[in-house]
Amino acid sequence: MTDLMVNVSREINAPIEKVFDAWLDAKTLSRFMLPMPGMPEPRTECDGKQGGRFSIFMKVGDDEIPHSGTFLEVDRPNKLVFSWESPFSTDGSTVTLLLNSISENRTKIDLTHIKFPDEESRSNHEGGWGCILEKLDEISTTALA
Amino acid sequence: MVEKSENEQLTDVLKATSDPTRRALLTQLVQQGPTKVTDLAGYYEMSLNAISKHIKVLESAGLVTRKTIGRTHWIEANLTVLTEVENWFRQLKSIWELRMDQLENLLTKGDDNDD
Repeated sequence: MTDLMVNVSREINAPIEKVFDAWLDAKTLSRFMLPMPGMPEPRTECDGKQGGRFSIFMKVGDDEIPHSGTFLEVDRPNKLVFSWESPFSTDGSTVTLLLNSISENRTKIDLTHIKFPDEESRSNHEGGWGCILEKLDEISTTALA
Repeated sequence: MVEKSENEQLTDVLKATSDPTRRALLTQLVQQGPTKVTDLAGYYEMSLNAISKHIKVLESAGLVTRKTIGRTHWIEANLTVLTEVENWFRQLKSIWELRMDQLENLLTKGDDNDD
């Protein structure tokens, strides 16, 4: 299996709804989806609902490099799944965010980015998804105990 | 010696470690320190020829070095080349780490939010 998985976890001092909504709003997206530190804010478009599309146009020199996706699952404020399309490859790619409220003003966020080399392995992987997410949830829950 | 590009180095290290026998060899060398080629062949019940081929692959990736004392070849693990692999994985992760940093800044320090 040549798929690639990236996990990033973070605790942020903000209420869970605020952390969640930041991912569904064009204005906030443009302020944290930067290609590199110190680079100009990208132009963004975002239809923040299930099935909605978003686009982030990263400015690199005179060019704009678009990254787009579709919101596949919007379960406010706990779970957000979106596809992630890069102009450089036709590979499928999915980003899953799981949010857990630690306290009124502190939220744990677990991000999983999975790249699928092609459609075939994506469907092979479909069954594994539930397990992965359960595991992540389990981990974040134990971490709080 | 010709300097390899970082990319070539990464490819060589990943290729060399894609084989379970070579990973076992490397693990053993790390745990036991420098080992004679003949002893390595003995542990794995492999011919000297077969083990030598594996060692050559590890060697060309820079994962092991060879010292010859008298007629004996000693093989030693060298993990400094793993830096390329670590860097690559870190860079892969860092784009999201970076976005999380920005998100945190935005939500905790930004006072011009529309709420």
